[in-house]
Amino acid sequence: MNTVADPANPLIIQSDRAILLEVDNPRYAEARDALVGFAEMEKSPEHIHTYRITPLSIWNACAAGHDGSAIITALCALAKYPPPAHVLTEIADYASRYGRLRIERADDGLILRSADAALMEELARHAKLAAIFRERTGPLQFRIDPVDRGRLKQLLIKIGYPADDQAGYTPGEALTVRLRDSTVSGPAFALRSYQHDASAAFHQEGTARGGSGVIVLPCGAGKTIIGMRCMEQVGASTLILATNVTAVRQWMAEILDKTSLHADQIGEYTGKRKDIRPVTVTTYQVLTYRARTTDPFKHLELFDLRDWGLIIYDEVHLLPAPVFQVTAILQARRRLGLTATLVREDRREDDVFALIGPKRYDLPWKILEAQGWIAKARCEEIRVGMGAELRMQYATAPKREKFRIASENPAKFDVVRELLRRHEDDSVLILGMYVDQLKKLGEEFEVPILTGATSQARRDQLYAEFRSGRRRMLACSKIANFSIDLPDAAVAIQISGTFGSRQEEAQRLGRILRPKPGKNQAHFYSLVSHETVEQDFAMNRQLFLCEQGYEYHIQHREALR
Amino acid sequence: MQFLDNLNNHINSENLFAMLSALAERSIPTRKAARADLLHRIWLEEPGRILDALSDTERLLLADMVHHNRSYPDLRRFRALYDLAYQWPSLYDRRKNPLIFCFFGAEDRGSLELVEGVQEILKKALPPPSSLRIKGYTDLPATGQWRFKPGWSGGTERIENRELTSQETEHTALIELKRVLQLVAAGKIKVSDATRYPTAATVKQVGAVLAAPDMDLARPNTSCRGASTQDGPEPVRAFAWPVLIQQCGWARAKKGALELTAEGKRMLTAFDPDAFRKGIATWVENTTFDEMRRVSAVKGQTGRRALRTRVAPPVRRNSIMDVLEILPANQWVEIEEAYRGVLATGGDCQVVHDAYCLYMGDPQYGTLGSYTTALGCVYFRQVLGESLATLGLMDIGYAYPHGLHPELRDSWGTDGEAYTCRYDGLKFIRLTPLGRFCVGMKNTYTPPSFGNQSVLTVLPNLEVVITDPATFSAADAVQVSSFAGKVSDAVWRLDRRHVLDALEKGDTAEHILDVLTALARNEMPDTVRRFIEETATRAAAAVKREEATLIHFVDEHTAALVMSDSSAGKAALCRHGNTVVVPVKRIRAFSTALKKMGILPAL
Repeated sequence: MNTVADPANPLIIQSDRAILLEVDNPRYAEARDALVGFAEMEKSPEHIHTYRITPLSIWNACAAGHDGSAIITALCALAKYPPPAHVLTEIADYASRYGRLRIERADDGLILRSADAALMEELARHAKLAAIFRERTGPLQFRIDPVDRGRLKQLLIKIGYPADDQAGYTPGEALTVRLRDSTVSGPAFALRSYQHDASAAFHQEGTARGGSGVIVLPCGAGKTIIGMRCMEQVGASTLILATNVTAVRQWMAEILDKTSLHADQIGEYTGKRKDIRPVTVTTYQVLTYRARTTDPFKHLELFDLRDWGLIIYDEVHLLPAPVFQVTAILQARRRLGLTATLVREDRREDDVFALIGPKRYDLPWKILEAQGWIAKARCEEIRVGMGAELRMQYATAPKREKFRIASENPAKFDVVRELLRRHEDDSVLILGMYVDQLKKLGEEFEVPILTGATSQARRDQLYAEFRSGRRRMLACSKIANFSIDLPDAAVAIQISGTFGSRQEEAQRLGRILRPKPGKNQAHFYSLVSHETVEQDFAMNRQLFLCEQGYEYHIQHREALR
Repeated sequence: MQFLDNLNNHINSENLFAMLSALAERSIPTRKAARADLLHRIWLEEPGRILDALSDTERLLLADMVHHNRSYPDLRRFRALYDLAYQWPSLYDRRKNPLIFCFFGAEDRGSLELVEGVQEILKKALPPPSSLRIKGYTDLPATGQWRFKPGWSGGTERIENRELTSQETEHTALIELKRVLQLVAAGKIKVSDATRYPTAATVKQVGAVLAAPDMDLARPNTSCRGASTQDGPEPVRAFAWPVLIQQCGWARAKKGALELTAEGKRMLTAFDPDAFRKGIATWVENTTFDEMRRVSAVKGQTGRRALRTRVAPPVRRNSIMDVLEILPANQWVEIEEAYRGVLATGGDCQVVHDAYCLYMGDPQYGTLGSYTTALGCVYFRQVLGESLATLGLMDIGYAYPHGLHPELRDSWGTDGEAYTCRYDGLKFIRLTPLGRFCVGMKNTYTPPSFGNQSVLTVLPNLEVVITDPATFSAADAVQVSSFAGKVSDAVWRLDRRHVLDALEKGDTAEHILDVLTALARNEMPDTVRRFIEETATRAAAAVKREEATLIHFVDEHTAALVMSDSSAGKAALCRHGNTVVVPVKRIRAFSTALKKMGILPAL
């Protein structure tokens, strides 16, 4: 292997441990495949993608079987210029820490074992760890309670020595799950290759090395299907945690449609129903509900109400703190995290690593787009001017009202009309933040509005009509941001958004990314009032999409005509 | 004055006798007038007899004069041109063979003038002399040779050989010019208000953007004659560039910093050979800087006497440019040979008319009054080594200068200086294709290829990634940093604050985009273009600034009363509470109106 830096290579390794990857380089694919193993992708705009090496990314790599020297060799072989020496040293150092501590099963509980006597002495003197260790059974091992397994892993990762958890899992209540060859609704069904790979990476053929971890795939990549495949592989009762009721129903519908399970084997545990079945789907909201802040989380008992063999955490980057606490004592159960991003706003990525497990599989969505698994998206920001009167109203309004005035610019409706004319054969989602604005739009264009106040039954009806093609347009408030499945939406028109929320922009775009027949092309329009604070916020959102690799076009309303 | 008149009026009878004797005339008349008539008749009937009796050098002198239509002999030029020294016969020698004087009349303006009416005969009789030829070498010799004649204190001639370093300048100069102009555009070139020379910090900054190592003038470890006061490596091009771009009219000093002129901006955008040549022409005529001032060992230059008798720098530079035209193409020419060319073409690099005001060491001793030509050669080296080589007009072969003092070795004070000029060791020069174009030897010029200059990638998320750090120069970095913030080793980010800073300093959206486009290997993303353009548009929203005065009244009612007055209200801009805002330009009208209302303006 070439270990000499060559300017023709695709990687620039920076001293802050960021790695820049040239997309146009002939060795791009080779470098990308290597980086996925030990670095986190931060952004993937056109031309250059940015990855970052962190202690967690190295430990994730080690958990997947890489070692430090292999990582360093790969980096050197792909670098344009010699990598900073301290980066290589740090990689070697981080990698050497993983596995230095092992958690193993013993007859009377769990054992934390190491060959490093000095490290064990250090741990023995750590106040919080000392409280967990039940007994020092030798100079190189401590005995711990199985219930402290999660907390131990959390503490160890915080002091920089992640434990290699080889204590295994309880098998859970057996449940036979089989994926169908064709769905109940008719079409043939088979796993895509990356879905196979992802589930295999999680399961690790049933050994203790697998069975817990996170799969990172973009919206529309079929994470639900991977979850079902993992259920099939584990073959045990499963608890699924989703973000909201719509997502719960979506999970249930998918399981019924694509697996051998029957409706009576699948339970919904939400605010409305409290069914506990071999496969139970619930929401984070229900689990963390309590009448008063001083009350206990009574629904957390759900984790103990059945002998779950697998727990699936959907959108794991949104996992609330109480669920983390419970998860810490559920370390004997297999755990699968599903997400589009490992980045958490609360910076608790290390807890995800310690309690859910290391990243098992990652595939950037641009790759899926290139392979046709998700639709190609064209993003356009359309600048809409304001009338003289509204402009003056905007100029004299208090700062906090400015955004709303700009967002509700009535001139946007004219643009919506023009866009609807342009896409008269496509299914269109109109997304907004303000219900009043959506209502006006609904009246003007005779479009049904979905808001938080819309009943679940009405929602389900509208979704069904939309899916079947009987309804071409649907206007949604923020409720559309998470986990609804609108298979045929080819166009999204965002008439207002939540300030600079980048996550919302990505989620809204995700609504239209499912593969489309024909050109497999989706359109995402964001209408923004020209020269207003809305334009500034839009820039933040737009930059995020650029960083995800989407080409963003900006045009003024006049150019549309 | 005619030939015969000259004989009658300026040659005495004794010298006429000597002249006729030199012609082997057997019967020489006794009267002076008869002698003159006889010599005149010989000139008209047998001019060859007179010319044959002259020495070869004298015949060459006459031929040079008549074929170059000169009325006065220039013996320094003659010597330089033919490498022949001629000295007018002394009074004693004139008695032996004063024939040459029959062609020269009364001394006028300190010189002898060729008599009238002889040119035609001389032209026919004397063949035209060979034209000036400058000797050149195809390859640069490995060593340069310096001869040290015995000094005033005696001794023997000494020869010193020094290893030569060659520096090919054209390619480097074109890269560096752009980088230095980039620094100017970024407001990074600071100069002294008094001298307009770059500050030490600027020299350091320019040094960081040089495309090739600066001239190595440091003395090797082996010791040689000369003090050690100036032994440290000195910046050459790093100092020269900020001066040269001013001389060439590409930048001008304003409030202690250089700013680009319109020509400089064009030059920065794209290298235009014709504009460059025009810049060189501007450099020649520049009177702000005198390169001789950089020769700090020659003192007294700023004295009143020196300034009064100073030869204007454009005269000296024109002489240098004239000789460049006749240098052999693609050949190395020894510096002494090149300077011979300056003198032979009738040029001069004389620094002052009265060199007695210049000195080395001590003003009471060591005057340089008798070193006029030597000082010209010092200046010649200075201009070639620092200005023209930096500008890429000529390649140079040089050695370290210590202890050489090539022309001034015998002068007082040299032993107190390590060298006279930094470029004392400049031994060979070679005109570059750019140089030949600038002096008019070529009509067209194609700049050398710089290869792929695409050193960065502009990303749609407003990041600028340096994809070729090896080629990304410090000047590029300075330029990018004027409108983007650095976030990591190879990543810069465009943000509103940095772009506004750049716009505030006079940059434009077009220029920022031009810079990025020139350096980028990809097409400018729409988001980036829009961001920069919209930032510039918004930045320009405030179109005019006007000063106003706030006038506070005792209460709101009085202020309202004032505003309701037709004159005062018209002069005022607006009222807020008890305060009235009055534009400064209308304050007088407002005061008058207030007085009419019986209120004294509290101004």
